[in-house]
Amino acid sequence: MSVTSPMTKSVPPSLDDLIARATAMVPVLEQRAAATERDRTVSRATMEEIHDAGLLRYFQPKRFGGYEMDWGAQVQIGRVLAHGCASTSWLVCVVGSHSAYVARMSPEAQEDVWSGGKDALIATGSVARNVSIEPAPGGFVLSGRWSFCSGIDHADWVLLRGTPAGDSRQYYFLFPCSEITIEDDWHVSGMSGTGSKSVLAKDVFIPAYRTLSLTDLMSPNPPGAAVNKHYVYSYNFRPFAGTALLGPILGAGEAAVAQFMAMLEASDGTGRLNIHDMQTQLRLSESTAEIGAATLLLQSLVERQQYYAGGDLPIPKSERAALVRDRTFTARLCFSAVERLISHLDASEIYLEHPIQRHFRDLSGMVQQIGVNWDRNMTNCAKAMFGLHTDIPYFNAD
Amino acid sequence: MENLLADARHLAPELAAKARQTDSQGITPETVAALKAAGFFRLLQSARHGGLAAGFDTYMELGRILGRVCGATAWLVSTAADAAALVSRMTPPAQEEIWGKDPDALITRNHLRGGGTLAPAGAAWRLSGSWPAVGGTNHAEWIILDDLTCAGDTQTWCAIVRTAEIETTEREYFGGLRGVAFRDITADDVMVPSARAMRKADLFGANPPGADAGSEGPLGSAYDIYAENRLVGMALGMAEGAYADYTTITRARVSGIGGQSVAKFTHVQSRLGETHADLKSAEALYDVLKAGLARGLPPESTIEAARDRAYIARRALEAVTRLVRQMGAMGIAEANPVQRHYRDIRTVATDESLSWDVHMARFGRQELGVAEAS
Repeated sequence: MSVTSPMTKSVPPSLDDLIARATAMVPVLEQRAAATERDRTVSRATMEEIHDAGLLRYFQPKRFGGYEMDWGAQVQIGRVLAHGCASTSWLVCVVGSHSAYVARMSPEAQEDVWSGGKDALIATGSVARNVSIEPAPGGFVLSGRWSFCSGIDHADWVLLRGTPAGDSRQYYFLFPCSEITIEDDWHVSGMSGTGSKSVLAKDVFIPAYRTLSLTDLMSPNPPGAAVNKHYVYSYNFRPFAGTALLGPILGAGEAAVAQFMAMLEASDGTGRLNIHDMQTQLRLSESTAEIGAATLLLQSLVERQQYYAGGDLPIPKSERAALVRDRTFTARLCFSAVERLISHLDASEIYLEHPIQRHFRDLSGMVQQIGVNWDRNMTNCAKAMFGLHTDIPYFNAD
Repeated sequence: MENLLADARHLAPELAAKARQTDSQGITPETVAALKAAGFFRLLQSARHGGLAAGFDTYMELGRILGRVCGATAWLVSTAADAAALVSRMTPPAQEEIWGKDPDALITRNHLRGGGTLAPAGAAWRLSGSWPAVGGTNHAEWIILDDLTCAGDTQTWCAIVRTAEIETTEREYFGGLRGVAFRDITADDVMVPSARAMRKADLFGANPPGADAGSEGPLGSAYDIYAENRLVGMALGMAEGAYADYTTITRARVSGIGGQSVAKFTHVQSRLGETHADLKSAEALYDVLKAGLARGLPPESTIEAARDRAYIARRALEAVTRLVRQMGAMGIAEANPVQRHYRDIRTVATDESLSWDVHMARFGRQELGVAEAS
């Protein structure tokens, strides 16, 4: 692979360039996928290659050597990478998109993260336990434990979420990873390579400029919009949230179907799994139809987000729910497509660890994510359609 | 036999408490010793060597009881008991060599297709070959190997060899039943006395060399019907275990966002109802199947029995899938017993004996009068 360092290239790469670089990485990611799963983290080599290819700069502001790409760029890159490894895709597409959060924070916070055009991976910790956040002169002092911090082994910074004493709002607190410790508690079946371990903070001071309430971060024109002009930094972020999950989900779905087809091509026609078998034919067509529908639905979803955000238009309430509904439905289509094929396989494909099993495990892990949780999202979408109060604050807001 | 099943129920809490460790580190020698002491491995062994020579219904129930708490343990017990039935069908000299000194010797066998050859060496054979992902080799003293070719014979042969005489290689594996420790095995020019190698048809057919005259059931009748049903009790047990663990967890579970009692969600309640109905309908069919196997299934019922077996496995798999899907991020945690049951049953359900496609279509052909392809 020939990749020019992002900082030495005068013309920033296009999305097509990044997709081509991601595509070139797929074979090596595939080769490393079993080790990634076993080690429960992406390798250092992979992370270096990702940074070298500029694959984490899609939402980094141009002021810091980033590319300021349109919303959805990360989904396309993530979709491609997932053909090799869904965990790596998750780090690039889901964790990587947190750059947009930092770019919406204060200019000082951004300087801390990216001054001189540094590469940075920014993890988040949203599920908190035993957290104490006390106001202190010039900032806060934090202690606690935050779970599910994907990519934390390779992160340079982490956004920890919590509510300070005496406040009712949730805030993000941006820490350099040198100030927290990692607790290795990530033992899962599926998406093991994301290394979504817990972090511990103990009496760590954070200056006020590296904190921002969730409301301010998500609302239109957050502090960072004063210096970064792209709509990704200035538009209401709520309708964007959760979409990034679909990059690795669709990619893993496509990869599993491709693996199934490769098995059919390799079949000598004598076993149960062969293209002359009618049950196989039915299942393959059903699953490719689902992946096709998921692809179109995701494309529509991103186009609608770009339309409203690009035109700085308000999103009607019905459309807010539709975005969540379509996101959730896209994930289910991908899962269902692969589950159907997996149930059709012989024992040897499971015991001998055919790659399709890993894709299925990863998909199974990803669809358990709250952002695509069927029950929560679908019940709230229906409530929103009838103007009822929902558990998703953005649906209730005016 | 009720005593033995009662012992299994008695041992179950201990196996459940160890199940997470078993899954991540393998079945321990202590567990194997406890299973051996309980006589589980000798369930189908002939009485000649002190075995229980039990009916296959007891075998299925034992797999079910153990499957509820630990899939890997259930798998090892079922495999060893099934292998002991096969050894009991071998010639008396073969049985004497295997069990003469140690009637408790643990035996496993391969399930995925491998391949090997038997070459004549005087009055004995030399065996070479390889078999992928064989379970239980770390605890078994003996292993029955299938898929052998023998010079000058067109039939498939089997042989039984000492595990000490074969090479085992660990493999990277992330699927279910991890505690079983599936390993690739290679046999390189292993000497096999003639009594320990046989045509598969002789071993599996009715009236095998080791059977007493007129004996029926797993030790005397054609064995395929039993071999095909070796996993179904275990599969149902895994689903029942997942159901029990899920209800315990869900009664106390509070949603991560919103802090509500998950048990109060109507969709959670409704899916539990569906899952219970799945398990009860599976159990009803299982009881019929089990009774049929205890009596001895007439040949005209085997296709319908196989369809029921696939149906039971499908109900059980869908039940566990539905439960694990409702557990959010905790649903993928390896420490979650529902996730472990899910991995285990997904692995078991891939066995051809439980294949939906194979057995549904075969029943359809029988019903429509379409002949099986030769």
